[in-house]
Amino acid sequence: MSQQAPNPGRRRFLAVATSAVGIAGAAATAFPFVRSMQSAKDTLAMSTTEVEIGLVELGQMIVVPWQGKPVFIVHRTEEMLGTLDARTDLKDPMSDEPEGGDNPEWFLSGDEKVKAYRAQRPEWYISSAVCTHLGCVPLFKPEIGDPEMGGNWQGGWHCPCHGSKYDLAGRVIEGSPAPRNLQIMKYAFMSDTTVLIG
Amino acid sequence: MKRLIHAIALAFAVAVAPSAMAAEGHIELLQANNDMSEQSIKRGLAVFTNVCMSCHSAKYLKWRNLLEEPFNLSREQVDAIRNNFAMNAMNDGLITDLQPADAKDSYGKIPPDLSLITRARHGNEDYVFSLLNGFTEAPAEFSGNNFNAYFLGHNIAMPQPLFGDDITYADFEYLNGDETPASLEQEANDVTAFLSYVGEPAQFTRQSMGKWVLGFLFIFTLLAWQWKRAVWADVKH
Amino acid sequence: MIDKIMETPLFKWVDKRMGVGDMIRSQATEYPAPNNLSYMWNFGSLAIFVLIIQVVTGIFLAMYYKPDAAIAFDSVERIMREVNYGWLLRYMHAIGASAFFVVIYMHIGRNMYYGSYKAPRELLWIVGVVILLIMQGTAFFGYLLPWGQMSFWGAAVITNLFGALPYIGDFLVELLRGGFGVDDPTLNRFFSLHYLFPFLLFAVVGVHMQALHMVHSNNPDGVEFKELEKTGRTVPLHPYYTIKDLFGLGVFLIGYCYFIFYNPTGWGYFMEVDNFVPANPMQTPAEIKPLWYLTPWYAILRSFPWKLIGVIAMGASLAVLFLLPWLDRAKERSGRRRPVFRIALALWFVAVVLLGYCGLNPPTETLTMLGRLCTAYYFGFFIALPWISKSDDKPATSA
Repeated sequence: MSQQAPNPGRRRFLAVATSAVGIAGAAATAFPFVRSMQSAKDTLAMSTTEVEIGLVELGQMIVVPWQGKPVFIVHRTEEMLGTLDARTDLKDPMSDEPEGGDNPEWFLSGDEKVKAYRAQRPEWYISSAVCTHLGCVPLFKPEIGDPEMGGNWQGGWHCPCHGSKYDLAGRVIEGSPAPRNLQIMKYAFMSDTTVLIG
Repeated sequence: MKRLIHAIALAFAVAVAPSAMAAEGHIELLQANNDMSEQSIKRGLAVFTNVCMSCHSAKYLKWRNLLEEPFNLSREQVDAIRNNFAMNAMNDGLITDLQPADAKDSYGKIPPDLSLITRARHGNEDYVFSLLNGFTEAPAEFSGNNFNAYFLGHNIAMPQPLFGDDITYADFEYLNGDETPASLEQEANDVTAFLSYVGEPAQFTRQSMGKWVLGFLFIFTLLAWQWKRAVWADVKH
Repeated sequence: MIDKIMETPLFKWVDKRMGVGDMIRSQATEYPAPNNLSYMWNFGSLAIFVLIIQVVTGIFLAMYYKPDAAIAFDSVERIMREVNYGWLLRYMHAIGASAFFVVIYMHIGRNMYYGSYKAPRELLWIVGVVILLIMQGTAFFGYLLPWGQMSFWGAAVITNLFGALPYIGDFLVELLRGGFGVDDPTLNRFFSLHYLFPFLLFAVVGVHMQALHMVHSNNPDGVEFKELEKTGRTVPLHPYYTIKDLFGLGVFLIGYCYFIFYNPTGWGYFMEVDNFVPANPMQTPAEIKPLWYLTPWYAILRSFPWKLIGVIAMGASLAVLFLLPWLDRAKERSGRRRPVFRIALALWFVAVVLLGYCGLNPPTETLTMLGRLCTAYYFGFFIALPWISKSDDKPATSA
């Protein structure tokens, strides 16, 4: 070992420099570990689901998985569509909330009919099946005037967990604990019988 | 201590030297050209999907991967290839239509999946390249399925897959009018490059990250060394 | 810098409630170590660092790995291809395993050469051998997990060995395998044990450190520690050895990262070619062998044509290590001052390396003979040690 006179200035510099570089290196090393916990590439690739809707009858609803969560698809009748006009009991009839929220492109650029019926094609209603209150899956109550639903039931969904109600366009009805309409998402019709969700 | 180190070094030399030469007395392999360029890998994709996939799968490569680096095919180009096969969803792997039962009938063996073939054989890329070029004239006394100069035991169940000009590269839109002649050697090199990539898609990222990591470590170690010397300067030992 | 931290109010608050300050002083800033330790003394702290790397990478790998025989191999490939930086985690872990053994063999070699197993460090040495055994167990369990050809057949052969033991043999084999052969139950339990063992390691390392701090480090000249203290030839662990260890860490990381980024399979020694083929119980690979770090003992096993003797010999070759402090009867500690012992030990290291070479290759006639020769020397060294250790004897170094 060379016997150089101890140089405190140099020592200080090297202590700081080595520690700084070392800590930077350690921090950089943490990055891949955290990153590895994010969605893997094949998980992300599952972001779309193709659904065959040819066999869904008028008035019928199916629930399909998309990104691991349930999605409602309803083949709406004319009568069902009729229940959507001139509603006064909705919290957010034009789906304005939340401001700049998660509404997909097709909705934002759609005309009034699209905004009211909340669908690209009025007869096909497609939305998330997750109640915007605390995440349960609401029950489908399509029967207009259903005595169980009391009063003036116009058809829609009723969430068994805390009582939230939605109309046949998934819009939340006044008096429900749920704050927002059922979430609509990006989808596209591949044909009259196939829709690609996501 | 010094003598100890010398002894160990000697032992290593003794130990390593013989194994550095051919073990098991096998033949010297041909050398693959190690062209891992994008274009070579894409040509290899053409060879693989048009020739090899008649019997072999590469299940760990998914159809959707062909949209990304290093393939960068368009959705239509991928559709054109995948719609020739039964397992053709974007999230499916590249799976052959040849059923295992039929393969056993025709060849006596199920053709192995080739996703990892360059990593799973001694000689790696050189071995695969050699094998593809190895369907030479069988010696007179050979009796078996197919003669291959590089396959262990020389008796391989696979009939010669490539002859040269099995495909024309310029025919493939995603090869952008590549005029490279599809000689046997060229096709073998290209499909080897493709298989090498499929064996370890992370290899390019790994190597490029490596230079940063090692560069950083050299700097860090240099600093740590100087710090150590500075701290120890006042200690007589 | 540490003293600055120890003066802050926050530190004092914690210290009052947990005595951290005393810990730091007694274990680092005021813990005396010989002032003449060479770089051969870096390997202990390096081993702890590698253990931490293995545990951390292992935990993150376990977030994606599936210990089910049907999908284990696929899950590893998924990690390599689909998980962000999964390839990096996998390589760090696989190469880390080999790195762990390189470091520990250097550490053990140093202990043997400098007599660090001698009084009062016998128990320290014994705990160390226990660490080696747990490491070997961990590695053995871990290697089955990728469920490649070598994973499967290596496990099949080694679990089979236990069957050679009389009376309890078959019972043990079934306990290990969870069935008739190596299969899904084996994989699941090996995963469980592979996850467990490193935490046993932490505990035993804690005991190892406790034992070490009681008797303090040996030094290259084998001088009694009390003597060094008396004559002012010690330095506090921090900052002298913490910084020296940091430098050593840098050198280690360069080698480690070279392999990760430029040579992950390590020419087939860190990741075997056959293990890129999924396990096939119907077909044995051309050669079955463990990874390089277990090959010396594999060679000892194969040196004996009788299965039971081979198993006993393999066990004995590890058990004999426990006896070293008592077989070596010299008063002198360090190999530096023991010319006869030095040669004998150097040849022993050569024998171990050659045994490793034998274990790596198919058992040809020449290699079998070489293996037997080296096995004989391996045991002969320990058997002869009580006599040859006396020939170097001089009073234990005092100055």
